[in-house]
Amino acid sequence: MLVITFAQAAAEVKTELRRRFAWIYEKLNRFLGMEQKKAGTAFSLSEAEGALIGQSRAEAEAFFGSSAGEALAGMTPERRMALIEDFSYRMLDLWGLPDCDVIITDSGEIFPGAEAASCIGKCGLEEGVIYLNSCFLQENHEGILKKCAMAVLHEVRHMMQWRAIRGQLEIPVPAEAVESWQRNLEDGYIRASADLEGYYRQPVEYDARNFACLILGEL
Amino acid sequence: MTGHGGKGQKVKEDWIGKLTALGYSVREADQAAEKIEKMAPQLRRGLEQWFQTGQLADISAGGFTAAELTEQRGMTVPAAFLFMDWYLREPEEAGQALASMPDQVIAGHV
Repeated sequence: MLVITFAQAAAEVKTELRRRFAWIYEKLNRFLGMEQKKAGTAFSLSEAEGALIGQSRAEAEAFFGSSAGEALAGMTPERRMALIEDFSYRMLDLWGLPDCDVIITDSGEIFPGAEAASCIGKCGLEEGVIYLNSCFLQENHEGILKKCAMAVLHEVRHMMQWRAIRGQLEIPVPAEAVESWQRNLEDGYIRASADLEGYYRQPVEYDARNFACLILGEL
Repeated sequence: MTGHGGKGQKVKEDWIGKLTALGYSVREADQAAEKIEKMAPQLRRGLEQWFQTGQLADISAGGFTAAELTEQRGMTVPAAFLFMDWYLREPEEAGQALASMPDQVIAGHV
């Protein structure tokens, strides 16, 4: 019994030392400018995408003015849902996805259980449908409402990633990006509910976050 | 050498088995199992206890508890422990990820 306890304690000390060495190693590398790129941290755009980013920013400003959160917070929930829906279809058109649909819903089938309060949107890749959680659009909170507008762009980007993998996206996208999306979406997407760190760091999520931020980050 | 590696592999496979039984995909389970092996000992003990007894230990990291993360954030119990471990390692990035309000990609039909 004593031997097992000692072995357990030794294993814990070993684990803790390994964690601390990993932490020191990472900090030292950062200090020396030798930080290794983590998986999924490559974000690149084609020239055509760059031009459309500028156009999307102008469109977003036309929809929301200088602050998306403030503009949405100043509306009734019905009006803001209608505006978000219009904005979604405009972005889908602009990014070469005119056949896709947008559904704003609080359906328990789409957002079951705790997802009603924790999942802002979903992207049905095969069916070409973007689902936005209407519970978040009921909140009169500028920060949350801005995230709803960002979620539109985030889901539009996921749809683009899928169409690019399938060779169905007319807008040119860097080949290395498509390869990494393909590996991610076909070999194993990680859900936030299963492992938030794995979810946050995977290539398709990193890319979609950056895409949304480029367009709406400053509004 | 072989014995030590074999034991480690067996432990990882055990975790993968437990996680897939909870609905994790093979990829999710594989990645999560690797992190569980390196998890802070007190958190790993808490997760092991939950698998054995179904009781959630009263452990918190950065003010988050497993119960809160499962009930309010829709995480599975292993995901809650993985998050707390991430928060201990990288509080800023983990906090940002939690505040980002996650979405989900669905390959098939809803």
